[in-house]
Amino acid sequence: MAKKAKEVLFDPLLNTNPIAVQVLGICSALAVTSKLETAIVMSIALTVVVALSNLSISIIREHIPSSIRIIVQLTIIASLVIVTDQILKAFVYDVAMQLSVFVGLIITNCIVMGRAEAFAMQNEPWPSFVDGVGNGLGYSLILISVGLVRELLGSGQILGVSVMPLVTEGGWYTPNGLMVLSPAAFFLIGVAIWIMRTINPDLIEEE
Amino acid sequence: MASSKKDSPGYIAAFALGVCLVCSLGVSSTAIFLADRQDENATVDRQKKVLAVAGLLKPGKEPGNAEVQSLFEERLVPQLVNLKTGEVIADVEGIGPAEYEPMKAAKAAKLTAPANEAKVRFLPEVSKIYYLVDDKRQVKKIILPIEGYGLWGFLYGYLALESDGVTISGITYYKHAETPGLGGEVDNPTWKGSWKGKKAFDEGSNEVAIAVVKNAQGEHQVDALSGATITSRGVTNMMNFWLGEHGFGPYLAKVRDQGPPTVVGDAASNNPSKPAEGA
Repeated sequence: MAKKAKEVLFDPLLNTNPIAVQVLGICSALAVTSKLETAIVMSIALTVVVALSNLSISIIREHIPSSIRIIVQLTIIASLVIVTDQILKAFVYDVAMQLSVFVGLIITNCIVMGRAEAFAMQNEPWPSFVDGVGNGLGYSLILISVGLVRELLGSGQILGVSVMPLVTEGGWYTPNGLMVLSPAAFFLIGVAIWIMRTINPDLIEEE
Repeated sequence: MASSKKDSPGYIAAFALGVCLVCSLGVSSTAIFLADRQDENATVDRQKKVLAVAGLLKPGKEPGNAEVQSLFEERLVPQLVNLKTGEVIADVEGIGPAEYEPMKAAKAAKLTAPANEAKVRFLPEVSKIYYLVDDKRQVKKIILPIEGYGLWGFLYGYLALESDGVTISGITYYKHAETPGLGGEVDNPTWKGSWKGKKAFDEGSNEVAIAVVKNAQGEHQVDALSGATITSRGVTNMMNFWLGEHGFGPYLAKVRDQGPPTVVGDAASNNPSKPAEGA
């Protein structure tokens, strides 16, 4: 409980990264990372939802009857997700169309529920909010790196701007077809986990 | 905060009700507040696709909503086509081309399409097309709505023909769920560009000739998308259906026989950008 705000914020980036260390929220990481733009919007959406759900659940944590606490958390998260989806459709329509169902699926994203139950139920509102932001950033870090690599190798572009001109458009780069398919994200996340464990051997489970 | 009080059924029910009330208020007020903006986005997105297939939008440029709407009203004229007779009509039971929604009407009236490879389910009696017109309101291009099944679901889009009713000038899809990078390449500008100048029909024939095939040759074939055999086949199927006898075949045959079409029912009321005279 005595963790400092700084640790709460930065631990989830590397030491307890929700995707690469806790292996949560993989489904959306596979689905929305074939382009960088969708990965970024998804990251922002998730970070906002985790931070606000942690905040609001923490504020009312002492009044939530324990027998219905999960469903109360879920109601709050679902409402936040619907509001986020509506805002995306109103302001970044094109991206919202590409993200389609995955914004709605933030509701079932294990990171959001996990942080609500594990952190926000026991901590003050401010640290809970910071924890939400931290975990959102940890998720974003992986999502954006994977999105960057997949878009670059899969379409020769970054944010829709051609970096490596494709053979089909008169350039020299033959795109890697695997990169635009979901399994590529599996490989890239695997590599990310490998790198993190090499840098920080504490993450390796004991035999 | 005694735990006994917190666990009493009355408290639990009241708490649940309170949470639901607050949450539903939040959700519904956002929905109502943003509804207009979302509807506008959806309409503009469609208009943008029609403009794109008509060749009025430069790729890479993102015009604002207002710009799209004014360009659309200025250059595109909606028209109603009776699919069976191929005739352009002024209205359906008093509803003009701007307001008429053929697919909604077909669904409401349960007008099912004859069995077809494109798996089109509903087929309206009257469909809505667009004419691209110049300053003198001469028809330059004919824009037809198309839809059909690909690999994962329906693809919805537009096909633009020159005013001869044969030469293809463009194709675009505004909604589909094909795999990004494979079937999703129906959005690829280079592939879409390869349709330009192709002929939809054989000289003097009403048989649909255009097809998406591997190693395309000649003026009736477009290169298939690599790694997306089924999507490519789906595109061919929807060409066959929409340009064929149940689709716009009869209408296009008339265009080919009688020369470039003229705008039907071109009154000021159909064209909001021009002030109505004497009104």
